[in-house]
Amino acid sequence: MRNSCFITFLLLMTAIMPVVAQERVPDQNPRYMESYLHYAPLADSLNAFHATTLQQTYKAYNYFEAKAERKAQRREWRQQRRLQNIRYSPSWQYTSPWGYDDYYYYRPYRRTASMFTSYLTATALAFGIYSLWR
Amino acid sequence: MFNVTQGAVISALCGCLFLAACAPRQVTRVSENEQIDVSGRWNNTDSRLVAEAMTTNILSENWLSDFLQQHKGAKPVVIVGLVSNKSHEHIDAETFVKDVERSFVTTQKVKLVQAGSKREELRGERADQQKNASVSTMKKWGLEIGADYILQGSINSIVDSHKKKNVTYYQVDLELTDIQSNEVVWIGNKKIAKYIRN
Repeated sequence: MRNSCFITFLLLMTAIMPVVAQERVPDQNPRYMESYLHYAPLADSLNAFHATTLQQTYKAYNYFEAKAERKAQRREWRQQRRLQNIRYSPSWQYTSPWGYDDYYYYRPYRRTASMFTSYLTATALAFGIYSLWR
Repeated sequence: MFNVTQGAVISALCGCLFLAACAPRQVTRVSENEQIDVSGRWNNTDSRLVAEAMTTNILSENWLSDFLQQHKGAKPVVIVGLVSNKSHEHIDAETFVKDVERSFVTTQKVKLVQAGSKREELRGERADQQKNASVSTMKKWGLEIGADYILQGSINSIVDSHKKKNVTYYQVDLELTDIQSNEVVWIGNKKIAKYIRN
């Protein structure tokens, strides 16, 4: 604790010393030290932007660009819809590229090819029984 | 369906298209002062116009003669600060600010000190010399020249467009401020307006 206080004092003195060394000028604000102590630690970060261009651009409206963007957006949505349709179509059995099937994930309303086959089998059996019965 | 003549014409057209597609790209060197507007956006001509206006303006204004008079002929020292691009396009101010800096150095009317990352690099090199250079050639700390003025700026734009018509207005402002007193001693600006019809 004592050591840390001493180090803080030393740092403060090191920061103040150059200013103290400056001779006071007539009409100088007597509270100039407060300003110095505020800005001295910030100097590096503030001066890092010297000789650079800060890009604060905005997006201007352009009729043709907006039209092209709407078209691109529509195309993207259509592609997503197509992928979704393929993903959930009954004739497509999904196999995960990570080596395991995601069949075990909870997806109660998913229709798979095997279910579709079982519907067909059940219908064929029912039709056969009905034919025999008749 | 097609007779022989029609077939030949279609084949020739297809051949021409194929050859046109295979034609190599043509690149021609042009003069940097030639005005070539392709898209209507900010280009080298705009940057050159700004640089020309600023360099002629900054060295001929009263702030320079006033400083020389007040400091008995000592040249003012300028540092380049931040330029904010608040327009709708990506514009790097270095393309025209460098021309202004170059005019300071070539005319020898104003002293220029390094700023930003280049100044950091210089200080890094000086720090390295303290360990690696011979004592006689080692550069000392605390002898940099303090700047009298800082050059700052901003780029703004206004866009008015409707369907095929577009008016773009750019305003580039550079300001020179006294670091001691915060007094703005010079403001230079260049306004560029473009009418673009698609």
